[in-house]
Amino acid sequence: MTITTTAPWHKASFTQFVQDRLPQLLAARLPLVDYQVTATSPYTCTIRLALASPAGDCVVDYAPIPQPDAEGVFMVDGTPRVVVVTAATAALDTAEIQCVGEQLYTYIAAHLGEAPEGLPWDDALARAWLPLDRWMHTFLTTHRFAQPLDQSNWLARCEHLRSLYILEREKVFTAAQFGRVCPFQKPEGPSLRHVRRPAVGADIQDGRLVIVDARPAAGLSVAASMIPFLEHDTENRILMGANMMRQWLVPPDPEPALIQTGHEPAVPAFWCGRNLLTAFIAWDAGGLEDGLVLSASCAQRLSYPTPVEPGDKLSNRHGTKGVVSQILPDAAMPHLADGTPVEIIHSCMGVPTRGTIGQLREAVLSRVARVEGAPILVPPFQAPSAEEICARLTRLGLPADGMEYLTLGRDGALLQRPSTIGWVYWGRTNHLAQDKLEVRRGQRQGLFDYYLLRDLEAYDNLAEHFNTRSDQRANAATLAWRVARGPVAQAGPPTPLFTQVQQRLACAGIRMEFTGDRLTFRFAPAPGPTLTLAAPVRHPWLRERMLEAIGTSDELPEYQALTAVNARVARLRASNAPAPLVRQALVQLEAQCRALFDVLLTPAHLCFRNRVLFSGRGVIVPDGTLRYDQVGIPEKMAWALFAPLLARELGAGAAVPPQDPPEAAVLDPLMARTWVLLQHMPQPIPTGIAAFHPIRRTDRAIHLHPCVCPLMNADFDGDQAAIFLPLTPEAQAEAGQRLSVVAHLQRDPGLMASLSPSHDAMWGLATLSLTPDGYQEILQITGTAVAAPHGFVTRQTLAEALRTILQRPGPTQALTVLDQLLQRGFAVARASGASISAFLGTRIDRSGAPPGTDVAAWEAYREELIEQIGAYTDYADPDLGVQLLAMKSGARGNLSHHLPLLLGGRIVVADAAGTRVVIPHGVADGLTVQQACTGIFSAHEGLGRTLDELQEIGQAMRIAHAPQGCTVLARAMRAQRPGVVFARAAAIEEVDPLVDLDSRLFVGLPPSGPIDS
Amino acid sequence: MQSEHSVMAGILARDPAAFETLFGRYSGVVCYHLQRMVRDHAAVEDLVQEVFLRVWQRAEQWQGQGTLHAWLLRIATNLALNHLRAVRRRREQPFDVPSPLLADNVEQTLPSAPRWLIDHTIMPPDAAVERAEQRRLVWEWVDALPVEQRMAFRLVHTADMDRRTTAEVLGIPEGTVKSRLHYAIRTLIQRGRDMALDGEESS
Repeated sequence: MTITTTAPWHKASFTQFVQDRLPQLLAARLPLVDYQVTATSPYTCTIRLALASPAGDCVVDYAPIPQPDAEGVFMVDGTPRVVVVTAATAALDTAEIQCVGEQLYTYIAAHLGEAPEGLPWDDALARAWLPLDRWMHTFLTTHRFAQPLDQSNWLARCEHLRSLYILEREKVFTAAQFGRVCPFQKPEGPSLRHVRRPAVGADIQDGRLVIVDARPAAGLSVAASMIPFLEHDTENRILMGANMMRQWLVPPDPEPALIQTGHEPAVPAFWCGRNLLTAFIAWDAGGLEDGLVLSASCAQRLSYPTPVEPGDKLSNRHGTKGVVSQILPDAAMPHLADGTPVEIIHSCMGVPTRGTIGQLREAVLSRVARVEGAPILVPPFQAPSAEEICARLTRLGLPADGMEYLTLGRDGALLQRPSTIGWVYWGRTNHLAQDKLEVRRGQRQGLFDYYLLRDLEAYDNLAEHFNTRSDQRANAATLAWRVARGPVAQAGPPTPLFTQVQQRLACAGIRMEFTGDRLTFRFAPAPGPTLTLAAPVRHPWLRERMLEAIGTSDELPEYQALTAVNARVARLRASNAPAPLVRQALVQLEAQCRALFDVLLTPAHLCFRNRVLFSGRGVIVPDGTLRYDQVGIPEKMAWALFAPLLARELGAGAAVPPQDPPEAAVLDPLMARTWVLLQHMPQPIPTGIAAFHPIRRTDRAIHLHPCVCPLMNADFDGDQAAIFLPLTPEAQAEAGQRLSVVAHLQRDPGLMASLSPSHDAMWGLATLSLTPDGYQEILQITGTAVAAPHGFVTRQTLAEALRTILQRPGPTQALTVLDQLLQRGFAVARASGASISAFLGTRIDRSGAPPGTDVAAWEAYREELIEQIGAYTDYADPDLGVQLLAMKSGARGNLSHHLPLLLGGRIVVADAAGTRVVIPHGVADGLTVQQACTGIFSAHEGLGRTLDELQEIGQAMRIAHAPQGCTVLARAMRAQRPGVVFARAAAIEEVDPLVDLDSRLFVGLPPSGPIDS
Repeated sequence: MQSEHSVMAGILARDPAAFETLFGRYSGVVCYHLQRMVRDHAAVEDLVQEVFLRVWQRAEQWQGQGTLHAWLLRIATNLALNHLRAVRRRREQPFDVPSPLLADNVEQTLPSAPRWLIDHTIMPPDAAVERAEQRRLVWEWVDALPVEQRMAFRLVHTADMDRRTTAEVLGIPEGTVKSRLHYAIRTLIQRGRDMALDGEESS
């Protein structure tokens, strides 16, 4: 099927605007006597119009006026731009659709005045009245929906031209959207409820989005139409797969996929991926939480624009995404029997929970394509059955289940089990480690980071972040110089944040004075230049007080507006203008004062937030070679962060320490005895920040010990982390004592449960414990009893053993044992070849499945099936053995949730009314169009809910952590209009004794002072 | 109801009640007229005030020919045209505040500090404050201008008046406004250059 990839509506809509609607509008508002449009280039035209004037017609030429090319692209100031189509409501069957022409009409109609008769039109007046060229330019460069065209690749460009924005914040999905926009492809972020991609079978006609091709596959977007085996992937992964293809970098030499849908455009530029020999096997820390292990020759194959390095992000068409964690020599990779090295390892543990079976099917069928030497077409929802694929494999002498034994290295040992392997089409995304690495720019810290440090009582690090190392300090630029000269002491009060509030209050005529142990408040004229008001007005923060002058605040637009109003009032008064005029102007003056005061001091000014010097950021990757108290930081970051300390250590004086071996010999021990703080994205969990000893890594990623994943809720699909280097001796000591992993465990021994091995390591340990010798080995490592309730150890029983060690001998030993367990578990996994079958569950007897879609019947059957499979103990079974042990040991996944997803019987909510329906097939079997669409509502509403919940959690945290005190600063810190609090305090000359913790920290005092100590 | 003539006679006699009557009777229609022409709510509010201020100041210009209504709309139209022209002029010739090159005070105060240990990306105390400081400086220089130049400069650049209106407000010819602005801007640019030079010499 040839699909539509163009967006003809842009050009059509613009043409209608410029030919018909604009002249109609002009004629309605101006004495228009002539109107002509002439194209002057593919991207420009001239509009000539004539206006009737008493002195004769006035002819005006507007040139150049931008116009879109046939694709709908505008070229403005040398930049291609597109105007995104809007829909008034989410009910797309009836919603009014506005393309560029309609939007321009609305914009110009709102700006164009109606001319009274008899104006003496001349060129200058016409251009002043109707600055058509400027309006067009302003619209195309500043309007919300006029955007620079995404030219990342062919698909990105095509899909940007084919996007639709729903203005109303409705449900994520309505039934009227089927057939009109792609049910799968939506943004993951906050625009989830708004941005849609028109289906390839839809068109925009007469201001409506209409279905012109009702075939099921025509209901997909262009990107989703390019996903083979779509029916074997879950809804959210299709969403990610489609979205990420738009981020693929363009290789110089396009390579078409071995498996295609047949809907791909006949342009080489479309093909941005590479067919990479992919093994879906258990591996070590490198495969943890989406991490990908690459062979050296694969990294070279992907060297556009630069060779791949750890931290770079790859994705495939099935929504699998991850960063490269490790690049191994080809010889260290698993090999096919014919000596071909595997190019990319994706942990098999990540597949069942995400329901991305499509990539396994692609892998095995690509082996057929490879042998046959021609691509195989798999159109959406027409994928060949398991039987067909097996037959084709068999015919070519390939293993029928697509699984075969690999060797570790070219002539190395045979892995113990057969593995699923084949070519999968992967793209290198534009998320590159080198672009994400920041080594000089201070990292932002905000309110949540403040809560975190405050709740952990890490007051010295808190003082560094919001005072000593704040980029807002007057002496911030010289911090590195001071560090190089000798130890830096903690800066005393006031913090730059406090000073800013003080200055803003001063503008409002409120003097807040810090006297060493308290704050006093009173009204006082603003120091420095002031604006004397033409007439006193009521103080915006205190009704009973009059305001006569305001400190100048030239940086605020509201202040500029106030000076204009003030000048007018002065002029009216000076010219003895009558009362109604003066009254009206005074009302404006008072309103403008209120507007200024609304922005002069907002809750944000009372928030802890600034950039912190001596910090950096980068993409995180897993690294199994680290000790539990280490973090690997990029070479470049290490030298940049530590250079001043190193200069001090070397006594190097003014010179930049060279990055040579003698200096490295000083740097490494310096780093080994220094703590840095690692912070994954702001997380509302106490372990959101932790201290580690940094070690240098030669690439440009931040390397994390596997235990940091559960600790910080981190995964490796592009997540970033910040590194902070505490400078004062106090903050260094505090980092070790309060923020190290050991310290976190001492504070909360319950954390051991989440640190316990998981994923490949846990599966390896469970497998090891299946044999008596293996079990003994685990006991030797732990030195304490570990239960094996079902004949193998589990994540929970290991956590219990680690808890025992934690109590005695203590956390250091517990973490050392954890490290040893992880190493052993990963080694077992790496040697196992454990994999996941592309035909998962085919050996399971599912003859008892109910014939219809009765939810109760399916619930009963589902429970039966879970029980039946749960009772299996053949963990060597190539069909489900690995996944069964992974789920039962707690390594990954869960029987009752993931089995129905894979094997059928998933029960979902299908609409806003909460109707529960069953999806009889699982992604392993492949879903029908109807089944895939049934799952959409709950999957995408779920994403929407998650976004809402995040907002709610943020709000709840803000309330829960707000200062509790009744003193002035504490009250102001939780006020919506803090100025009101300060004005009241000034009116009664209140004193803040600074006994409230948050107030003290905001001012820059230690947490407790002489008053309450 | 008072006739147009008696209302205007009252205004000529500086009778506030007459003005109240005029304002009450015509401010709505003037506002509507301006809104249709200008389509900028904030500007319309200002223009309405301006129309009635003109009437108060120049009531004698209504000779009784034509209706008062038409006269008011004519004033409104002229002011609206001035406004639209001023908007266009401001866009085409934005006034550039002479931006003095900043002396790198940091290095002045720390002559021995090597460059690599100074963070040049951080402008002490903070870029925004620095910019504000620059603007503040410029306005200080404006305040230091001779009073005639200062008035002209403020009206044009702060109160957003065009030169003709400024001339009317100040009661001077438009050419004089232009020359005063010319000298004012020349002085400001010179101050900016002086400051930049001071910085270079002392660093």
